[in-house]
Amino acid sequence: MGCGFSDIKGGQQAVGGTPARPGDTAADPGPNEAVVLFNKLRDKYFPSWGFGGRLPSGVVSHCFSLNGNESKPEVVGVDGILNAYASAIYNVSLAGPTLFGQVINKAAEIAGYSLSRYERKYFVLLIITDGVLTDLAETKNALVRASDLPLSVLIVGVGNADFSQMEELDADNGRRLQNSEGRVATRDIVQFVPMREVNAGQISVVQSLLEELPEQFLTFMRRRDIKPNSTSMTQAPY
Amino acid sequence: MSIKVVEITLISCEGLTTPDNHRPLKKHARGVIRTPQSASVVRSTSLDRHGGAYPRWDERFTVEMPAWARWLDVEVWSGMERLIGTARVPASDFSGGIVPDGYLNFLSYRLREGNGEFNGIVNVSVRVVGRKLESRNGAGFGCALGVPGRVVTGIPVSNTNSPSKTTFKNVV
Repeated sequence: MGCGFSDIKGGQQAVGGTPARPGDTAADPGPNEAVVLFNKLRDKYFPSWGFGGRLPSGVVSHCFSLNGNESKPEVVGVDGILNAYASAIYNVSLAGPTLFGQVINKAAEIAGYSLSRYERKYFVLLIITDGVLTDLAETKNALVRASDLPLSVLIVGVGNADFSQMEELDADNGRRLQNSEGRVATRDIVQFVPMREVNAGQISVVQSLLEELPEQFLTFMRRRDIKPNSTSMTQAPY
Repeated sequence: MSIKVVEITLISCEGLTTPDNHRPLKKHARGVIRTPQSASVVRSTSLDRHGGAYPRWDERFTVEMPAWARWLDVEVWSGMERLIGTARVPASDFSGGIVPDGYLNFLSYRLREGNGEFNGIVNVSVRVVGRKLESRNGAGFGCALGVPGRVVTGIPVSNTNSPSKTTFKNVV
Protein backbone atom coordinates (compact mmCIF):
# COMPACT_ATOMS: atom_id res chain seq x y z
CA MET A 1 0.00 0.00 0.00
CA GLY A 2 1.26 3.45 -0.78
CA CYS A 3 2.59 5.68 -3.47
CA GLY A 4 4.11 9.09 -3.84
CA PHE A 5 3.88 11.50 -6.69
CA SER A 6 6.33 14.13 -7.73
CA ASP A 7 6.96 16.40 -10.61
CA ILE A 8 10.09 17.23 -12.48
CA LYS A 9 10.09 20.53 -14.20
CA GLY A 10 10.90 20.17 -17.87
CA GLY A 11 13.25 22.52 -19.60
CA GLN A 12 15.53 24.07 -17.03
CA GLN A 13 15.36 21.85 -14.02
CA ALA A 14 17.34 18.70 -13.88
CA VAL A 15 16.56 15.08 -14.12
CA GLY A 16 19.30 13.99 -11.80
CA GLY A 17 20.64 17.35 -10.66
CA THR A 18 22.14 18.36 -13.98
CA PRO A 19 20.38 20.70 -16.39
CA ALA A 20 17.81 18.68 -18.29
CA ARG A 21 18.61 19.04 -21.92
CA PRO A 22 16.00 17.54 -24.17
CA GLY A 23 17.88 16.29 -27.18
CA ASP A 24 20.95 15.40 -25.18
CA THR A 25 21.23 11.69 -24.57
CA ALA A 26 24.18 12.24 -22.26
CA ALA A 27 21.77 13.39 -19.52
CA ASP A 28 21.69 9.88 -18.08
CA PRO A 29 22.11 10.31 -14.32
CA GLY A 30 24.54 8.10 -12.47
CA PRO A 31 24.13 7.21 -8.80
CA ASN A 32 25.81 10.39 -7.52
CA GLU A 33 23.54 12.64 -9.50
CA ALA A 34 20.58 10.74 -8.16
CA VAL A 35 21.61 11.53 -4.59
CA VAL A 36 21.65 15.19 -5.62
CA LEU A 37 18.18 14.69 -7.01
CA PHE A 38 16.81 13.39 -3.73
CA ASN A 39 18.50 16.20 -1.81
CA LYS A 40 16.88 18.69 -4.13
CA LEU A 41 13.52 17.12 -3.44
CA ARG A 42 13.83 17.63 0.33
CA ASP A 43 11.61 20.72 0.37
CA LYS A 44 9.30 19.68 -2.43
CA TYR A 45 5.63 19.00 -2.12
CA PHE A 46 4.50 15.50 -3.00
CA PRO A 47 0.89 14.49 -3.31
CA SER A 48 0.82 11.03 -1.69
CA TRP A 49 -1.90 8.43 -1.85
CA GLY A 50 -2.48 4.99 -0.59
CA PHE A 51 -4.34 2.18 -2.28
CA GLY A 52 -5.70 -1.12 -1.03
CA GLY A 53 -6.60 0.24 2.41
CA ARG A 54 -9.69 -0.07 4.60
CA LEU A 55 -10.47 3.43 5.84
CA PRO A 56 -11.85 4.17 9.33
CA SER A 57 -15.28 4.40 7.66
CA GLY A 58 -14.97 0.74 6.71
CA VAL A 59 -14.72 1.43 2.99
CA VAL A 60 -11.85 -0.16 1.05
CA SER A 61 -10.28 2.63 -1.01
CA HIS A 62 -7.87 2.38 -3.93
CA CYS A 63 -6.85 6.01 -3.92
CA PHE A 64 -6.87 7.94 -0.65
CA SER A 65 -4.69 10.71 0.71
CA LEU A 66 -1.95 9.23 2.89
CA ASN A 67 -2.08 12.26 5.18
CA GLY A 68 -5.82 11.83 5.69
CA ASN A 69 -6.64 15.17 4.02
CA GLU A 70 -8.47 14.32 0.80
CA SER A 71 -8.51 17.90 -0.47
CA LYS A 72 -4.80 18.44 0.16
CA PRO A 73 -2.80 15.24 -0.31
CA GLU A 74 0.57 17.05 -0.51
CA VAL A 75 3.30 16.36 2.05
CA VAL A 76 6.74 17.96 2.29
CA GLY A 77 9.78 16.00 1.18
CA VAL A 78 10.61 12.33 1.49
CA ASP A 79 10.33 12.63 5.31
CA GLY A 80 6.82 13.92 4.84
CA ILE A 81 5.92 10.85 2.78
CA LEU A 82 7.33 8.51 5.45
CA ASN A 83 5.51 10.36 8.24
CA ALA A 84 2.22 10.29 6.31
CA TYR A 85 2.67 6.58 5.68
CA ALA A 86 3.44 5.91 9.36
CA SER A 87 0.29 7.75 10.45
CA ALA A 88 -1.83 6.07 7.75
CA ILE A 89 -0.76 2.65 9.03
CA TYR A 90 -2.52 3.45 12.34
CA ASN A 91 -5.73 4.67 10.75
CA VAL A 92 -6.01 2.45 7.72
CA SER A 93 -5.86 -1.33 7.66
CA LEU A 94 -4.31 -3.13 4.72
CA ALA A 95 -6.87 -4.70 2.43
CA GLY A 96 -7.01 -6.32 -0.97
CA PRO A 97 -7.43 -6.30 -3.86
CA THR A 98 -4.42 -4.44 -5.34
CA LEU A 99 -5.64 -1.97 -7.91
CA PHE A 100 -3.37 0.51 -9.72
CA GLY A 101 -5.94 1.96 -12.14
CA GLN A 102 -7.22 4.72 -9.88
CA VAL A 103 -3.86 6.12 -8.78
CA ILE A 104 -2.58 6.10 -12.35
CA ASN A 105 -5.73 7.91 -13.49
CA LYS A 106 -5.29 10.43 -10.68
CA ALA A 107 -1.68 11.08 -11.74
CA ALA A 108 -2.77 11.39 -15.39
CA GLU A 109 -5.42 13.91 -14.37
CA ILE A 110 -2.80 16.03 -12.63
CA ALA A 111 -0.46 15.85 -15.63
CA GLY A 112 -3.35 16.81 -17.96
CA TYR A 113 -4.39 19.67 -15.68
CA SER A 114 -0.82 20.96 -15.74
CA LEU A 115 -0.94 21.02 -19.55
CA SER A 116 -4.14 23.04 -19.53
CA ARG A 117 -2.39 25.60 -17.29
CA TYR A 118 0.44 25.83 -19.84
CA GLU A 119 2.93 24.62 -17.25
CA ARG A 120 5.97 22.89 -18.54
CA LYS A 121 6.30 20.04 -16.13
CA TYR A 122 7.08 16.37 -16.30
CA PHE A 123 5.55 14.14 -13.64
CA VAL A 124 6.77 10.96 -12.02
CA LEU A 125 4.43 8.61 -10.20
CA LEU A 126 6.22 6.29 -7.76
CA ILE A 127 4.21 3.21 -6.80
CA ILE A 128 5.42 0.98 -3.99
CA THR A 129 3.58 -2.31 -3.77
CA ASP A 130 3.88 -5.78 -2.30
CA GLY A 131 0.89 -7.19 -4.11
CA VAL A 132 -0.05 -8.87 -7.31
CA LEU A 133 -2.33 -6.78 -9.47
CA THR A 134 -6.01 -7.62 -9.49
CA ASP A 135 -6.85 -5.12 -12.23
CA LEU A 136 -4.23 -5.86 -14.87
CA ALA A 137 -6.60 -4.94 -17.73
CA GLU A 138 -7.70 -1.68 -16.09
CA THR A 139 -4.08 -0.83 -15.24
CA LYS A 140 -3.09 -1.36 -18.88
CA ASN A 141 -5.98 0.83 -20.01
CA ALA A 142 -4.91 3.58 -17.61
CA LEU A 143 -1.25 3.36 -18.69
CA VAL A 144 -2.10 3.41 -22.40
CA ARG A 145 -4.35 6.43 -21.82
CA ALA A 146 -1.54 8.18 -19.93
CA SER A 147 1.23 7.24 -22.37
CA ASP A 148 1.08 10.53 -24.30
CA LEU A 149 1.14 12.73 -21.17
CA PRO A 150 4.24 14.19 -19.49
CA LEU A 151 4.26 11.30 -17.02
CA SER A 152 6.42 8.32 -16.07
CA VAL A 153 5.46 5.59 -13.62
CA LEU A 154 8.11 3.95 -11.44
CA ILE A 155 6.93 0.77 -9.73
CA VAL A 156 8.88 -0.71 -6.84
CA GLY A 157 7.90 -4.26 -5.94
CA VAL A 158 8.49 -5.14 -2.27
CA GLY A 159 8.44 -8.70 -0.97
CA ASN A 160 8.35 -12.06 -2.63
CA ALA A 161 5.16 -11.90 -4.70
CA ASP A 162 5.22 -13.01 -8.31
CA PHE A 163 5.77 -9.75 -10.15
CA SER A 164 5.71 -11.12 -13.70
CA GLN A 165 2.70 -8.88 -14.46
CA MET A 166 4.79 -5.83 -13.65
CA GLU A 167 7.42 -6.93 -16.15
CA GLU A 168 4.60 -7.07 -18.69
CA LEU A 169 3.63 -3.47 -17.86
CA ASP A 170 7.26 -2.40 -18.20
CA ALA A 171 7.15 -3.49 -21.87
CA ASP A 172 10.91 -3.96 -22.05
CA ASN A 173 10.41 -6.96 -24.31
CA GLY A 174 9.72 -4.51 -27.13
CA ARG A 175 6.02 -5.28 -27.18
CA ARG A 176 4.05 -2.07 -26.82
CA LEU A 177 1.30 -2.03 -24.21
CA GLN A 178 -2.17 -2.34 -25.72
CA ASN A 179 -5.57 -1.61 -24.18
CA SER A 180 -8.75 -3.59 -24.63
CA GLU A 181 -9.95 -1.36 -27.49
CA GLY A 182 -6.85 -1.67 -29.64
CA ARG A 183 -5.12 1.57 -28.68
CA VAL A 184 -1.38 1.06 -28.32
CA ALA A 185 0.81 2.98 -25.85
CA THR A 186 2.49 5.95 -27.54
CA ARG A 187 5.69 5.19 -25.61
CA ASP A 188 6.91 3.12 -22.68
CA ILE A 189 6.23 5.12 -19.49
CA VAL A 190 6.74 2.33 -16.94
CA GLN A 191 9.84 1.19 -15.07
CA PHE A 192 9.57 -1.73 -12.68
CA VAL A 193 12.14 -2.58 -10.02
CA PRO A 194 11.84 -5.66 -7.78
CA MET A 195 13.39 -4.86 -4.39
CA ARG A 196 14.45 -8.48 -3.80
CA GLU A 197 16.92 -8.19 -6.69
CA VAL A 198 18.20 -4.95 -5.20
CA ASN A 199 18.56 -6.56 -1.78
CA ALA A 200 20.37 -9.50 -3.32
CA GLY A 201 22.94 -7.01 -4.56
CA GLN A 202 22.24 -7.74 -8.20
CA ILE A 203 21.30 -4.18 -9.04
CA SER A 204 21.47 -0.79 -7.34
CA VAL A 205 18.08 0.67 -6.46
CA VAL A 206 18.90 4.18 -7.61
CA GLN A 207 20.45 3.06 -10.85
CA SER A 208 17.65 0.68 -11.68
CA LEU A 209 14.87 3.12 -10.73
CA LEU A 210 16.31 5.92 -12.78
CA GLU A 211 17.59 3.81 -15.66
CA GLU A 212 14.77 4.48 -18.10
CA LEU A 213 13.47 7.81 -16.83
CA PRO A 214 15.84 10.09 -18.78
CA GLU A 215 14.99 8.37 -22.05
CA GLN A 216 11.25 8.45 -21.30
CA PHE A 217 11.52 12.16 -20.51
CA LEU A 218 13.57 12.89 -23.64
CA THR A 219 11.25 10.88 -25.89
CA PHE A 220 8.35 13.06 -24.76
CA MET A 221 10.26 16.33 -25.23
CA ARG A 222 11.86 15.41 -28.56
CA ARG A 223 8.61 14.31 -30.12
CA ARG A 224 7.16 17.72 -29.37
CA ASP A 225 10.34 19.48 -30.34
CA ILE A 226 10.49 21.12 -26.90
CA LYS A 227 13.90 22.59 -26.24
CA PRO A 228 15.21 24.03 -22.97
CA ASN A 229 14.33 27.72 -22.45
CA SER A 230 12.40 27.91 -25.68
CA THR A 231 9.13 29.01 -24.12
CA SER A 232 7.86 32.51 -24.11
CA MET A 233 4.70 33.80 -22.47
CA THR A 234 2.79 33.75 -25.72
CA GLN A 235 3.77 30.28 -26.77
CA ALA A 236 2.04 27.13 -25.62
CA PRO A 237 4.37 24.61 -24.03
CA TYR A 238 3.55 21.89 -26.50
CA MET B 1 -24.17 23.03 -32.62
CA SER B 2 -20.42 23.04 -32.12
CA ILE B 3 -18.05 21.74 -34.71
CA LYS B 4 -14.51 20.70 -33.88
CA VAL B 5 -11.84 21.56 -36.42
CA VAL B 6 -9.32 18.75 -36.15
CA GLU B 7 -5.88 18.50 -37.67
CA ILE B 8 -4.80 14.90 -38.24
CA THR B 9 -1.42 13.75 -39.44
CA LEU B 10 -1.19 10.22 -40.77
CA ILE B 11 2.39 9.54 -39.74
CA SER B 12 3.27 5.91 -40.37
CA CYS B 13 2.46 2.24 -39.91
CA GLU B 14 4.39 -0.61 -38.34
CA GLY B 15 4.29 -4.29 -39.17
CA LEU B 16 1.63 -4.34 -41.88
CA THR B 17 0.81 -7.75 -43.25
CA THR B 18 -1.35 -8.96 -46.11
CA PRO B 19 -4.82 -9.84 -44.80
CA ASP B 20 -4.79 -13.18 -46.71
CA ASN B 21 -1.76 -14.94 -45.35
CA HIS B 22 -0.24 -12.42 -42.91
CA ARG B 23 3.05 -12.10 -44.73
CA PRO B 24 4.85 -8.74 -44.46
CA LEU B 25 3.30 -6.28 -46.90
CA LYS B 26 5.37 -5.55 -49.97
CA LYS B 27 3.00 -3.29 -51.85
CA HIS B 28 2.65 0.46 -51.45
CA ALA B 29 0.18 1.42 -48.72
CA ARG B 30 -1.93 4.51 -48.26
CA GLY B 31 -3.86 5.85 -45.28
CA VAL B 32 -7.43 7.08 -45.37
CA ILE B 33 -9.41 9.16 -42.87
CA ARG B 34 -13.14 8.65 -42.75
CA THR B 35 -15.28 10.87 -40.55
CA PRO B 36 -18.57 9.49 -39.33
CA GLN B 37 -20.99 12.19 -40.50
CA SER B 38 -20.84 10.79 -44.00
CA ALA B 39 -19.03 7.80 -45.36
CA SER B 40 -18.18 9.88 -48.39
CA VAL B 41 -16.05 12.34 -46.42
CA VAL B 42 -12.67 10.80 -46.90
CA ARG B 43 -9.13 12.03 -47.12
CA SER B 44 -6.37 9.87 -48.49
CA THR B 45 -2.61 10.07 -48.37
CA SER B 46 -0.57 9.34 -51.45
CA LEU B 47 0.83 5.85 -51.84
CA ASP B 48 3.89 5.23 -49.68
CA ARG B 49 6.91 5.86 -51.85
CA HIS B 50 9.02 2.89 -50.83
CA GLY B 51 6.41 0.22 -50.27
CA GLY B 52 6.53 -2.46 -47.59
CA ALA B 53 5.35 -3.19 -44.07
CA TYR B 54 6.57 0.11 -42.52
CA PRO B 55 5.14 2.88 -44.70
CA ARG B 56 5.65 6.53 -43.73
CA TRP B 57 3.51 9.39 -45.05
CA ASP B 58 3.62 12.35 -42.62
CA GLU B 59 0.66 13.88 -44.43
CA ARG B 60 -1.61 16.31 -42.62
CA PHE B 61 -5.33 16.86 -43.11
CA THR B 62 -7.92 19.13 -41.56
CA VAL B 63 -11.36 17.69 -40.97
CA GLU B 64 -14.44 18.99 -39.22
CA MET B 65 -16.20 16.90 -36.62
CA PRO B 66 -19.65 17.73 -35.26
CA ALA B 67 -19.97 17.55 -31.47
CA TRP B 68 -21.98 14.35 -31.65
CA ALA B 69 -19.31 12.49 -33.64
CA ARG B 70 -17.75 10.00 -31.24
CA TRP B 71 -14.93 8.77 -33.44
CA LEU B 72 -13.19 8.90 -36.77
CA ASP B 73 -11.84 5.95 -38.67
CA VAL B 74 -8.35 5.55 -40.06
CA GLU B 75 -8.05 2.92 -42.75
CA VAL B 76 -4.93 1.53 -44.33
CA TRP B 77 -5.11 0.26 -47.87
CA SER B 78 -2.76 -1.82 -49.93
CA GLY B 79 -2.56 0.09 -53.18
CA MET B 80 -5.83 1.61 -54.30
CA GLU B 81 -8.17 -1.39 -54.01
CA ARG B 82 -7.39 -3.61 -51.04
CA LEU B 83 -8.36 -2.62 -47.48
CA ILE B 84 -5.86 -3.97 -44.93
CA GLY B 85 -7.54 -2.77 -41.75
CA THR B 86 -9.30 0.00 -39.86
CA ALA B 87 -8.51 1.74 -36.57
CA ARG B 88 -11.31 3.55 -34.77
CA VAL B 89 -10.00 6.71 -33.08
CA PRO B 90 -12.39 7.71 -30.26
CA ALA B 91 -12.88 11.50 -30.02
CA SER B 92 -12.31 11.15 -26.27
CA ASP B 93 -8.66 10.24 -27.00
CA PHE B 94 -7.96 13.79 -28.23
CA SER B 95 -10.84 15.96 -27.04
CA GLY B 96 -12.95 16.45 -23.95
CA GLY B 97 -10.71 14.28 -21.81
CA ILE B 98 -7.91 15.44 -19.58
CA VAL B 99 -5.85 17.26 -22.22
CA PRO B 100 -6.73 20.77 -23.39
CA ASP B 101 -7.66 21.73 -26.96
CA GLY B 102 -4.53 22.49 -28.92
CA TYR B 103 -2.53 19.66 -27.37
CA LEU B 104 -0.74 17.62 -29.99
CA ASN B 105 -1.80 14.04 -29.26
CA PHE B 106 0.43 11.28 -30.57
CA LEU B 107 -1.78 8.22 -30.81
CA SER B 108 -1.20 4.67 -31.98
CA TYR B 109 -3.77 2.01 -32.76
CA ARG B 110 -3.78 -1.60 -33.77
CA LEU B 111 -5.52 -2.01 -37.14
CA ARG B 112 -8.41 -4.45 -37.29
CA GLU B 113 -9.19 -6.42 -40.40
CA GLY B 114 -12.75 -6.94 -41.67
CA ASN B 115 -13.00 -10.24 -39.78
CA GLY B 116 -11.89 -8.62 -36.50
CA GLU B 117 -8.32 -9.92 -36.54
CA PHE B 118 -5.50 -7.55 -35.60
CA ASN B 119 -3.02 -6.33 -38.20
CA GLY B 120 -0.17 -3.79 -37.81
CA ILE B 121 -0.07 -0.48 -35.91
CA VAL B 122 -0.96 2.93 -37.32
CA ASN B 123 0.61 6.07 -35.81
CA VAL B 124 -1.22 9.38 -36.05
CA SER B 125 -1.14 12.78 -34.41
CA VAL B 126 -4.35 14.65 -33.70
CA ARG B 127 -4.89 18.22 -32.55
CA VAL B 128 -8.11 20.16 -32.07
CA VAL B 129 -7.18 23.47 -33.73
CA GLY B 130 -10.46 25.29 -33.23
CA ARG B 131 -14.16 25.14 -32.70
CA LYS B 132 -16.90 26.71 -34.69
CA LEU B 133 -20.04 27.60 -32.86
CA GLU B 134 -23.23 27.99 -34.76
CA SER B 135 -25.99 29.99 -33.15
CA ARG B 136 -29.52 29.36 -34.29
CA ASN B 137 -31.35 31.89 -32.15
CA GLY B 138 -30.18 34.97 -34.02
CA ALA B 139 -29.59 36.77 -30.75
CA GLY B 140 -25.98 37.31 -31.60
CA PHE B 141 -24.67 34.96 -28.96
CA GLY B 142 -21.50 33.12 -29.82
CA CYS B 143 -17.87 32.78 -29.10
CA ALA B 144 -14.77 31.19 -30.50
CA LEU B 145 -12.35 29.21 -28.44
CA GLY B 146 -8.72 29.97 -28.98
CA VAL B 147 -6.11 27.32 -29.09
CA PRO B 148 -3.03 27.88 -26.92
CA GLY B 149 -0.11 29.11 -28.93
CA ARG B 150 -2.21 30.60 -31.65
CA VAL B 151 -4.30 33.70 -31.67
CA VAL B 152 -7.78 32.79 -32.74
CA THR B 153 -10.36 35.47 -33.20
CA GLY B 154 -14.05 34.77 -33.49
CA ILE B 155 -15.77 36.84 -36.15
CA PRO B 156 -19.51 36.64 -36.54
CA VAL B 157 -20.34 35.85 -40.14
CA SER B 158 -23.92 36.50 -41.10
CA ASN B 159 -25.52 34.01 -43.35
CA THR B 160 -27.17 35.85 -46.23
CA ASN B 161 -29.62 33.06 -46.98
CA SER B 162 -30.97 32.91 -43.48
CA PRO B 163 -30.67 36.14 -41.47
CA SER B 164 -31.69 34.41 -38.25
CA LYS B 165 -28.67 32.19 -38.41
CA THR B 166 -25.24 33.37 -37.41
CA THR B 167 -22.13 31.34 -37.78
CA PHE B 168 -18.76 32.07 -36.25
CA LYS B 169 -15.65 31.34 -38.14
CA ASN B 170 -12.24 31.03 -36.61
CA VAL B 171 -9.61 33.16 -38.21
CA VAL B 172 -6.18 31.84 -37.36
